[in-house]
Amino acid sequence: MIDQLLMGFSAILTVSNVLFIMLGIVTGIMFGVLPGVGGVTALAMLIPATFYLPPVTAIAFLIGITKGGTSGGAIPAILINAPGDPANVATARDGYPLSQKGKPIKAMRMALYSSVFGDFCSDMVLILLAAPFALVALKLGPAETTSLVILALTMIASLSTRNLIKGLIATTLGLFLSTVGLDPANGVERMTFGVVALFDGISLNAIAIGPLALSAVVSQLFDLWRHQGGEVKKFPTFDKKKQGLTFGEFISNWRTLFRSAYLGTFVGMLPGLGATLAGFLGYQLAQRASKTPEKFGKGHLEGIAATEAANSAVMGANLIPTIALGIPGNLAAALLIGAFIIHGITPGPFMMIEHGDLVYSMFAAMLVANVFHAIIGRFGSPIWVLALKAPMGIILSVVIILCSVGVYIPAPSLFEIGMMLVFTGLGYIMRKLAFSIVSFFMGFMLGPMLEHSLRQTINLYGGLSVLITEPIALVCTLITLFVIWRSYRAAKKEKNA
Amino acid sequence: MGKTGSDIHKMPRLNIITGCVLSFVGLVVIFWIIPFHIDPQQVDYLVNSPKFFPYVSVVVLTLLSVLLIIQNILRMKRQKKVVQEESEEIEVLGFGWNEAINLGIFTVGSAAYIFLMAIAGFIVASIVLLAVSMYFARVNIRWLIITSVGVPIIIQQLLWHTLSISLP
Repeated sequence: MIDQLLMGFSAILTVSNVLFIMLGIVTGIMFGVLPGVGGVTALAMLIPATFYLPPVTAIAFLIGITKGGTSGGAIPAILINAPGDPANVATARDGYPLSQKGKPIKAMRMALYSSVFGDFCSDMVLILLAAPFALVALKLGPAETTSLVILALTMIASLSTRNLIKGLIATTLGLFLSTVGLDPANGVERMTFGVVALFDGISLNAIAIGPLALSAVVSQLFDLWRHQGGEVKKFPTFDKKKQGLTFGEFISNWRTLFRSAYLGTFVGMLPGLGATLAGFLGYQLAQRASKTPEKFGKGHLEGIAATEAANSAVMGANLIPTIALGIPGNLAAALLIGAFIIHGITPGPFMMIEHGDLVYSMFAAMLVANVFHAIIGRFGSPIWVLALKAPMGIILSVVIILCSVGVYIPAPSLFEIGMMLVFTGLGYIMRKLAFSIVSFFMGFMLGPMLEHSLRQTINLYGGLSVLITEPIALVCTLITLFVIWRSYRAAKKEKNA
Repeated sequence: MGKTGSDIHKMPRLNIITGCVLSFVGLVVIFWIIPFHIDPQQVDYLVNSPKFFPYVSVVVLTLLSVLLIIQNILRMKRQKKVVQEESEEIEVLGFGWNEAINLGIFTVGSAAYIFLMAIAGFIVASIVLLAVSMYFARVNIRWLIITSVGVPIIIQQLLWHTLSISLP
């Protein structure tokens, strides 16, 4: 493993790869800073743009975006109490009050360093566990895979929305749309309506960019249009001398940092739980364990550390099921799967065997990105604040154009742009009706895998009873039923409260 | 009058309508789209048929839609306190006339954008789109002109000179 990791470093530490990592981090932070836009938008938009890059460079660039996007969302949370991403909502609890006390830069630096720390911890767990997980995954048969995918989709559906039925509707819609195109087993046309462009199925880029990224942008533009007052962003004034974060102040929170980082790592390993939950859990645990819990919520550095370390630690751990099983743990991981596929790499247990050098290059890229993330985040603060001050009308409008370009690049066709816009409309409707777009996207991504494993299961075992007779499949099935029952109980409890 | 039943049951009502629409669409897919738009194949087992997984997914979708209707009818009928639904992101929920108009504007705008791109090219189409979008977002006129003209040209030049990609 160490040899492979060293080879990964030698592949990553070239001028072009390092520059792309840095560019990715800058891009991720710039997008992460913009409330309602976020790092995921950058990821969705720029994945197609990596089509022309070598796989190692492309993955390094995208890793940079995910790292930057996570910490970028903390900046507006701290400065204007408007988190760039739901994962940063808990950061605002202490970040904004500290900013109001005249120490916004100090809060931003604490958030940055805690984010990098959390990232680093989960990256180490990923590097240590990915290969063993992949070895275990190789022993999984079609029945186990079927039950695992169903479990993952159910968990994501139940956690993404308060109404499980709506979450599952979104998931099955995604599953259904994934069947458009040529049947992978028979080569038969399925619902292509004679359109050659649909033979390969609905474009992953159209589904990624349209509902995920562009629909949010369109929704915000319409909100801007309808609100007469326009946007008002008030930035805190501060004394530059009081902004320094000393090493002692950072390291004094070492217990909180480790606790949150490993909490986030654990949460990240489970599909669907996500960075938002990790951030809140990290905050609550830190407050309970703290010797000064009364200081939380009033600008306490420990509160910022707890949230940012936890929510940043999710990403690295999410890649464990992504690489080992081909099942993404969250949206960013699902988008990275899309990137792998674009570059001819199929995520799953064979990825470590067939593309081990690429996987270890990716690990090396993650570790290198952490270093540059700390440097760029630290010295680029004035630029991020400037980005935040730009009128949202300009930013959102430009993002629409960038999305169109992004979907056009890998498949130069107006049909692709048209499809993206159609799914943007669908995404807008889903947003307004509280249908989970994450569940929809996951259903679309995992549809082919589920269809394949389901077919194999029924062909091999003559039915689905194996899902309750094979031990691993049985465990997954029972957990799925438990998740459904929990969602029902939680909804009933809330109604009776 | 205070908070009326219609306010409290806005989402359940929308959910019922959504469930009806989805159920209808599901039935159309089951009885028309799949039978007539997936080529039939002679297979040993149904599971190997290209229609199998589409059928499974759309039947489940239709059943869930019916369940959604029933769930929300029961909520409204029992006058129970409704679980407040939340969006995944910071989004105001609800689909009324404003949202329908927004969707209509977006549909017309998208069609116009594609059409303009097909006949006049990326730069012209994007200039128009940016100008219209920023105008309605009340962006300062000077920045509107600079951005709407500058951004498409910069993007086009960048893509051509770095990746040799030619936009429409």
